[in-house]
Formats: sequence, C-alpha cells, structure tokens
Amino acid sequence: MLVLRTATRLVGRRQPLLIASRSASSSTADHHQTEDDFAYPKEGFGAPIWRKTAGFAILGVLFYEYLGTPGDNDVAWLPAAGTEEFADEAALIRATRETALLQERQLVRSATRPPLYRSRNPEQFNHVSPYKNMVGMSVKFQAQTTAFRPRSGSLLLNRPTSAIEIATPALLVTTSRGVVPHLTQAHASTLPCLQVPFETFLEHSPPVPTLHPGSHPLHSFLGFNPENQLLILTLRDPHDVRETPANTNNYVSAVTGRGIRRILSLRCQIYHSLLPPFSQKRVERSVSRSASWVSQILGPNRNVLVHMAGGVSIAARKAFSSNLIEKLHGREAEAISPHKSLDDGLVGYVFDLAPLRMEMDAVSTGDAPDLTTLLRASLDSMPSSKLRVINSVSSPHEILRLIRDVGVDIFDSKWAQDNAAFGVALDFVFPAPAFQTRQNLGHNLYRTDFAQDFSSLSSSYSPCPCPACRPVATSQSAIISHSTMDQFRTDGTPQPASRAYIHHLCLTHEMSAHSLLVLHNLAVMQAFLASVRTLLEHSDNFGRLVDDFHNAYHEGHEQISEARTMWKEVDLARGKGRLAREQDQGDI
Amino acid sequence: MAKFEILARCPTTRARVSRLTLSHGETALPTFMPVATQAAIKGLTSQQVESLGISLILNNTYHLNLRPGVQILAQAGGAHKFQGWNKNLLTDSGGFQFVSLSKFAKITEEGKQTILVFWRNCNSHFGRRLILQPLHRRANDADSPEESISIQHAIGAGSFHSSTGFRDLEYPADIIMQLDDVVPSLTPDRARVEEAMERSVRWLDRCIAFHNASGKQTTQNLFAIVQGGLDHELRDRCLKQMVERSNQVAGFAVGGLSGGEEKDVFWRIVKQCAEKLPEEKPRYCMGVGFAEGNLSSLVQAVHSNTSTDLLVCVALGVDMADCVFPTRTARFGVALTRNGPLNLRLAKHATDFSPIEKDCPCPTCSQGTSRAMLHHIVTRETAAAHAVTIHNIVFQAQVMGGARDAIIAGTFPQYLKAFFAGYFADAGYPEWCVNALQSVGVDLLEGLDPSEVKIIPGSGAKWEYSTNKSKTK
Ligand SMILES: [Zn+2]
Ligand SMILES: [Zn+2]
Repeated sequence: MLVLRTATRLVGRRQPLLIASRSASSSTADHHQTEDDFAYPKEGFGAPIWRKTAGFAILGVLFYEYLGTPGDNDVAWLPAAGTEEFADEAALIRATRETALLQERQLVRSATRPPLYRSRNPEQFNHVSPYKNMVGMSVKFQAQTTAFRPRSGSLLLNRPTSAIEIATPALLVTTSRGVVPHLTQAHASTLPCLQVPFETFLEHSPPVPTLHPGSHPLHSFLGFNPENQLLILTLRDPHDVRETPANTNNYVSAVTGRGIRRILSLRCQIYHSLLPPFSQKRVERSVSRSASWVSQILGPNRNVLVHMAGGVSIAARKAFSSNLIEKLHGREAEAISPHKSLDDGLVGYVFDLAPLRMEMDAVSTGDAPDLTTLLRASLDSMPSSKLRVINSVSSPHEILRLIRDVGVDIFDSKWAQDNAAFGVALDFVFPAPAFQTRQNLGHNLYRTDFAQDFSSLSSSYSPCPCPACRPVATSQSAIISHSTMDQFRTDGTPQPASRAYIHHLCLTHEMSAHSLLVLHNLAVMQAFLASVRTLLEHSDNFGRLVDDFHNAYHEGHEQISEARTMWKEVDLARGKGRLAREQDQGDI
Repeated sequence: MAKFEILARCPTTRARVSRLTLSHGETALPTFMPVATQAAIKGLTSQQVESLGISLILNNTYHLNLRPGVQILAQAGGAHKFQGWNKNLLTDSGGFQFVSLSKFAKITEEGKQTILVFWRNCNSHFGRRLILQPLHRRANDADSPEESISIQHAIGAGSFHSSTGFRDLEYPADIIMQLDDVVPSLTPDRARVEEAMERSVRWLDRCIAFHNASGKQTTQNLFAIVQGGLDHELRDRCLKQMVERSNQVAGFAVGGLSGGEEKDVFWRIVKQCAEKLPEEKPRYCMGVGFAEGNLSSLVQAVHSNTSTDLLVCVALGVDMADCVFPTRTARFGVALTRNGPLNLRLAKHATDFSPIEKDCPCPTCSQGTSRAMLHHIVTRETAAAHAVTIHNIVFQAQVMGGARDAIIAGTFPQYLKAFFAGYFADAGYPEWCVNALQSVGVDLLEGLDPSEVKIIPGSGAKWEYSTNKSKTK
C-alpha cells in the first residue's frame, strides 16, 4: 500500500468548476515543458478545480502528478519558517473563541460538500504508481463488533505475485528521508509496515523516486522489499508540527532538507496544511473542500486513507464524515464511479495526533472535548470495517486506551524510536506483571547506574528477540569471502549487548548505541502489540488488563526528557564531526 | 602464542601471503584492520562486521581506558565480551593517541612527566596502589611533581605491569602492543626522537618481562613497535635492538609514521623496517592513511589514498595495517571505489540509480542501494554512514583479498598495475607510489605512453572535489 497524505488550504469561493477545469487541461502548452514524458503525462494542473480541492487525505498510489520543474517560477524557496500570518492566526484564535458557538453553527451549515467531478485522466496515477499492476487491499476483522470495541483483525494487501498480511493492532514504523533512523538496511528490511513522508524528496525536481526505472520504484529506491513490506506514503511528516508559512490559495508548503518549499498548488495534487486548522474559518474550508479533493484520487484498487478533518470541533468532524458517506447521484456519482459514495473508495481513516494536540492545547482547559470523544465523533457514522490509523501516539498507555475505547488498528512507533534516539531502552510488557511499585516504561541508559550493569536490555519477564538482546550467530555461508584462502570459523554463541556496553556507547557518542536501541525498542513495541492481539482474541477481560497496565507503569515521560538532556550534553561535548542532521535539529 | 605460517611469496616484490592463527580464529594476511575506537564499528553490530568477512579489528587502549575504564572491561569479562566480538582483536598501546590528542608542546617540554602521567593512565589499574584518573581528565592536567615521582616509584618498584589495558583480563585482546614513546613524526629535535626510540626499547624489555611473568603468553601476543622517527640511522639502531628480542615477541610493528611526513619519506622508512624485520614474524604498519591532528577535517581525512597506500605497503613486505579511513570517510559521504573515492554529496549523484560499485559483494551494493538514495541521506541520516561504512570496509577487504589471491597466483605485479591504473588513470600517478614500487621491481608505467601518463609529485591524494560552490548539501 502506498499512501499519500495531503491536506490543503482552501479557498472560500464555491462555484462549479467543471468546465474551467477541462479547458485548462486542454491548453497545457505552457506547462510541463521540461517534464519527463514517462513519469509525467502532459496534463496541466492549472485548473481551478485544484485550487479548491481540500482536506486531509491520503491516497493509495504514488501520488502526485507534478511538483514543479527546475527554474520554474512557480516554485520558490522561502528563507525561513514563521511569518506574520502566524500572529494573525493567534489573534484569530482569540477572536473566534468568543464567538465559537455562532461559528460552529455557521460551520455546519456551510460545510456542505461542493460538487464532485470525474478525474480527468485517472490513468495518470498508474504511470507513477509503485505497481505497474493493480493492487488491492482488504481489511478483515475477526470480530465484527459495534464501532468502538477493542478489536483484532488483519490487513491484507494482494499483489500480483504475493500477498502481505499484517495482523492488527499493528505497528507503523516511522522513517526519515526514506530510511528508518539509525538502522542498517538489513535490519530495516525486516519491518513489515512503514510510513514514508515524501516531502524531503521534493528537494529534487522531479522527485528522484519517481524517476526510478524499476517496477516498484519507491520500494526499490528506498531498499524495501515489495514482497513483504508495506509502505504508507504521506506528503508531510505527520509528527512535524513546526511552524511553516501558511498555505495560500496558490501555494502549499512542505519542509525539505533545503528549507521550506513552496509548491504552486495549481500544479500539484498535494495539498497539505502545515498548520493545524486553528481558525474556525479554516476548519470550515477544510471540511467543506476535502471531500471534493478525495473524489479526485479515488480509483479502482487504489488504496486511499483519509485524514479525518474537523479539528477539535465535534460538529465539524461529523460534517466531514457525513460528506464521505453521502450517496451521490447523477453526474457526481458518475465522477466517482464505480463507487457510490466517497467512502466506498477508502480503505481507512487516519488521525494525526500531533497537530490535534496542539489545537487542543490552544483551547482553554475544559472547553475541548477529549481525544476519545473527538475520534468517536469522526468514526461514529463510518463503517466499522475499515482501518483506523493513529500517528504520533505518545505512550503504550494511550495505545491501550485507543484500542479499548475507539478500536484503533494501527499505531505509529515514533514514540519508541524517539526513545531510542535519546538513549532510552524500553522495558515493559503486556499484560503487566504484578510489581511492588510502579515502574518506568524504560531505562535512561545515560545514567551511571548502568555503567556496571551487564545484563541485556530485556528484563527477565520478557525475553526480547531483537538483534541486540539475542544476536544470531553469522552463518558461515553468509560471510563475504575476500580471497580463496579465507577460512571462517563461526563458533561461540554471540553475546547480547549489555546495558553497560550501550551506556558506554551512549557516553562516547557512538552511533551503534542508537542502532541497538532502535532494534530493541521496535521489538518491544512489536511484542507489546502481539500480546495485545493474543489477548483480544483469547481473553474477555481486556479492559481490566488495561487498568492493570496503567497501575503498573508510569505514563510520564521523565525518562526520555532526562535522557534527552544527557544526550544533548554528550552531543555538545563529543559531537565533533557529528552528522549535520543532528546539528540542524538544534532545538531537540 | 600465535601461529604464523607463510603460504606464498611474491617472486617480484617483497609481498607474502600468510595465515595468522590467534585465540579467536584465523586471519589471512595481508589484511587491513577496521578501527573500533570505542569498541564499536560505526553503527554496525558485531555480527554484521563479522559477516563482512572481517576477522581482526582494533580497539584503542587510550580511549577505552578513559571510558568505560579497565575496571568495567574486567567486570564484563574482557574486551571481547564487552563488545560482543568473537573474532580477533588487537589493542594498540595508546601512545599514538597520546600524541594526537595532547598538546605537543607539553611533550617536548615536559616530556617525561607527561608520558609518565599518561603511562599511569594506561596502566593505573595494574599498579593497584594508583588512583584512576577521573573520566575525561586529560593526562597532562596538572599533576604534582610528587605524584609524578610516586608513579615513577611505583613503576620502578615493578608495579608497572603492561602496555595495554587488558592485561589482567580473563579474555584479553589477542594482540597487544608494547607501550612506546611516540613523538610526532615531524619533530625536528633529533635528540628527542632518539630518546623516545631508546625509551621504547627499554619499555619493550619491561613489557616482555611482565608479559612472561603474567603467564598470558598462550592467549596474548605481544608486538614490539619500531620507533626512530624519519631518521634511517635511528630506525636501524632500533631495529637491531628489537630484532635481538625477536624470540620474545609475536610480531613487529612500524610505529611513529603517518604524522604528516612526506609520502616519499614514509615509504622509505616502511621499506627499511620491513627488510630488516625477521621473515618469520608478522609485520604491522600502524595507522596507514591516518591524517593526524585533523580528526574532523574531510580534506585531511582523505589526505591519503589508503587503498593504494596499503598496496604499496604490502609490496614492501607489510602484513597488517589498521585504517580508520573507510569508516571515517563514510561519515562524510565518501565511498571508496576502484576508480578513486566517490563524494556522494555531489549533485551529480542525485539521479544516479547505479550502486557505488556494480560487482561489489557488500550488502549495500548487492541489495541495490543506489548512489541517488545515498546522496539523499548522506550527512543527514546515520543510516547513510552505516551503508557507506559497510561498503568501504568490504571494498578495502576486497582489495587486500585480491592482493592475497594475486600473490598466491604469482600475478601480484599485474594486480598492482591494474589497480593503480584504474585508480589514478585520470588524475595521474603519485610519484612516490611509482618510486616505491619501482624499488621492489614493479614498474607501474611499463608499457604506458610516457607522453600520456601524468606523474603527480607530493602525496598525490586523489579527491573528488565539487566543481562549483553550489553543490548539493
Ligand atoms: Zn531487545
Ligand atoms: Zn559495495
């Protein structure tokens, strides 16, 4: 599954745009002159229809038609993020708070879906599709229950030569610039389900993966195996809530390694609002237009996930959902044929918690509904047979609550990977053992307590199978021979990496510390979700076990913030020659 | 004691192929040793390093003594267990790091004192009466004369035990180096160089004495280090004295080089030492291609063309060399190839879907990781450093493995010519390489049109510079 998340900044006008769109697409002479014919069919996106497309959406194929050409005036680099518009946004928040009720009423009234139109040439997606052949995906759940019960199931992606089956609740591994941070390719290739933000590839135009000649361009380019690894493609990093210039009618923004990139929205199918829609006005736009945009990316065997828009407004969330499931008629139905409603073409729903949390924080305490309520508002009217995906989950506790209260199926692993990056080894199991005192979720290996701790990262009650805790002896045949006389003897059981060793590597600023910790933390998360699945299938007291887990482990993040401070100290003292990326991050 | 068997000799050059059997297995020589300064090869697990066909790595005593400290290593059950490495391990003496990490002025002016203090750093766990240095405290941070004297007493009283940090351990390094007195190779003060050379010989005796007394000869192998700076006469004196002790040591190293001296001087010293060292012991050339004093400077890091430097050393009779080059340059996005180093940061690689080297057996190349992908992540993701490190280590090992096969087949001169032609075809041959190989009977320029062959004086370092300022970053 290749999926693209998009979100857009919308324009306020509503008007039928069908004719304008078609005429624009037929006069493409001034566009795309430097395009690669293969990757980019000559198809203009100057049509106003794009200008008004909207929403947070994810689409299930390699995604965009065009993202600007070199030397094109439509593409501009901005020197830095943060413009006056943010001050305006903040002011707007304050203003809107006073008239929130009134606006909410207006919002629901005006959040009517605009007319839908048939995609002008849907085959364009297949040109850049990671699969030259059609792919299909189905989601099955063992226990079809009412909407908000904990559930286990499986995600099945059929490929012409293989099928990938992923048991849910499942883990979605985060990548950065197309790689799992700190892992070698050999280790990353064992992860079944990964999320790839595409924005850094916009540094090059056209984006390099789209030029790859292979039959699975994105997989091949990034070194993943299409036979058993499922990729979810998004435009922006869903965890990144850094401020960027607000999107305008004409431009959307993406963060690349070379700064903020503005993409002329007229010529781009990807729209992503980098700001959470703080203002009611923006929520309104988002909700009202996103459905229209979704219609453009639906297609047979195209696996599309949609971000559920609506921010902290329950009414807006419900309005967005009803747009998705509304049965369409006449020309509109034709436009999305064979689907009867937009939702028919979707395989699931996504919730990005990072921007949502910011928005919840911006609303004064007590005013904002809690997370469960918001998610349920979006899902209430939606069929329960589709995937529910969460990004930026903040703890295993939250995972358990979202499984119990909302029935979420896929969780990202950013939290666990961040812990590894700052020197925290996760150490928890589900169901939780009966501890005398409440435990931390992990260990900050920068602490001197571990200098002489020669045990492995896994605790006695949870033997961990990761390459750090249980290294597998290299088989003789797997060793590269450099000359005819090379003889390799593989003997002895490999030693697990001890806490003392990783403590040493942390303090000496060695990359291996983080490689080992990422391997371990991802394994802990996989094991955690595996036993959640088992218990969902074989136990009927899941709720009590969730409570037990809350009692057994602190949910706080003291360990990681302490580790982060110590990581920074070592980085300052020892980071001579450290990677530029670490320098760039500055504020971490 | 190590078993050292010579399997083949090159009929033309002084190169030979041998097998060194240590307590953690066999290592085919000539070989290069990746450097795991802090007991880890950048981002790779021990199993991954082993799968690259590496059977001998180097740890730096100086660094491991500062952190984690010898006590922790001992508690872990030795350096092997600590880092989960089941193959052979060599620990250096620490002397070289002392030179490169401390201020030179202090050595020349307060030589004995700082060396002794450093000595204590390296060996304090052996003289158990001594106090361990606080972490991160520099060896030359104000030590009182009294303290220094007491150390000297302790040493004089025989509590100086070894040159390496692992002596007391149950599973110590397979090869340990004597403690040597290292002075920067460009030191103009001949008296100081001579003093260091003589002291290194005296220290060797004490190392041998302790080594024999410790009863660890069966598992650990002590190597002597030939010193004497860039002075052939001093080198000869050192060689003479050390060769006399040949039956007490398992091998010999050539130290005190790679300190920024002219390559033309470097190879002559290596040749002189290799010729006079006994045939039946392995010869280890220390720190090939190490650009001293500029640990983070990319240009300095590529000061040498290590692949070709190593081959010259092999032709001169060297069996082993350590080399930080493959791992260090990898972090800067530099991949080694038969056509010279490849700077993956350059924009020209952005859409190149070919691997670093087509026929390379390394996991990075054989899995099809493209230059374009590496270009996208170099210097931004540690995973890029891992991928390029894997390639560079395998590349270097392949160059040495190819040399072994060529020596056995009797085709080493042709191998050298082909490799140098590929490496320097466009940039021109470094004059010193031509001279060095000529001295062992290989004429790199034989059969080439003199009007077309370029000869580059000086180090002849080849480097893929950005052609314009606007390189992709
Ligand atoms: Zn583990
Ligand atoms: Zn390679």
